[in-house]
Amino acid sequence: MAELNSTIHQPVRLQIMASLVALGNDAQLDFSSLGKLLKLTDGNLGAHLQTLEAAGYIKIEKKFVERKPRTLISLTRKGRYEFEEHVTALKQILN
Amino acid sequence: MNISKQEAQESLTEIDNAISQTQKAAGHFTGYILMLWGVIWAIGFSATQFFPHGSRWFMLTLDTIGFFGTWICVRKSNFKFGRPGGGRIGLAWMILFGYMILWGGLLQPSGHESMAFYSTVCMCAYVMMGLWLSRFLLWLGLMVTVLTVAGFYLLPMWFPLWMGITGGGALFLSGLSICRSWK
Repeated sequence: MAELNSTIHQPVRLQIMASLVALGNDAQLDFSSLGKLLKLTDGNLGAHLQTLEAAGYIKIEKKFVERKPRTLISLTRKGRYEFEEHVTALKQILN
Repeated sequence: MNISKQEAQESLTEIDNAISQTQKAAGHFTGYILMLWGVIWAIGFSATQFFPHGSRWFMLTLDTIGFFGTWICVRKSNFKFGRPGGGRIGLAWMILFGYMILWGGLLQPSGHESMAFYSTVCMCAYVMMGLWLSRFLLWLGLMVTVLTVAGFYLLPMWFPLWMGITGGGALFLSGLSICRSWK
């Protein structure tokens, strides 16, 4: 039986994980694009991303593109698995 | 961790909303690029049917406009996402474009052979991109390839117009359907 994940269950982190899942395997999402998409401030988004990264659910990569710093966020295999488990647990509660 | 049924339902709704919002943002970007190339193919090939002598330079000019248009779409997009090494896709298209000019010079295909050649090379790139990025591009590439070959053999007199309507139409409608389905 699947179990709920307290790290993922927080509303903002749930949306972050869902957005990354929506783009498919290996997709990397730009930090500012994610912030605009979820209507979050940089500080708020950064804090939640740190929590998810510490849990090993996402990977944060910083690089320079045309001399401008860019932060790219992607889902790890563990993160995808935990998210799917969490969704299954939510559905089980409803059934 | 225990939650109520109502809370579980709210969480699932939040997930669905976030997924559709993300797909909408990503879809619009891809959809607009496909629509742009659909219009370019439709204008370019259809014009070739009626003005066959200027077709080579006409198509080259339109393709160049298409590449700049695509580049502008990528640059202006507020929603930036990709995959590791994804930046190389743009570079790969530039290389392919260069090779197409080279092959065109070496093989010197003319008339309908030329149109079928350049179209199928482009669709080959769509199919290969589809292997890594999205099955949708793979099937679109295969479908337009089949339409190209069918028109080449079955409708030789109307081949440019056929390519404009079916090839350009397929690209445009695919882009439109992506934009609409993820609204």
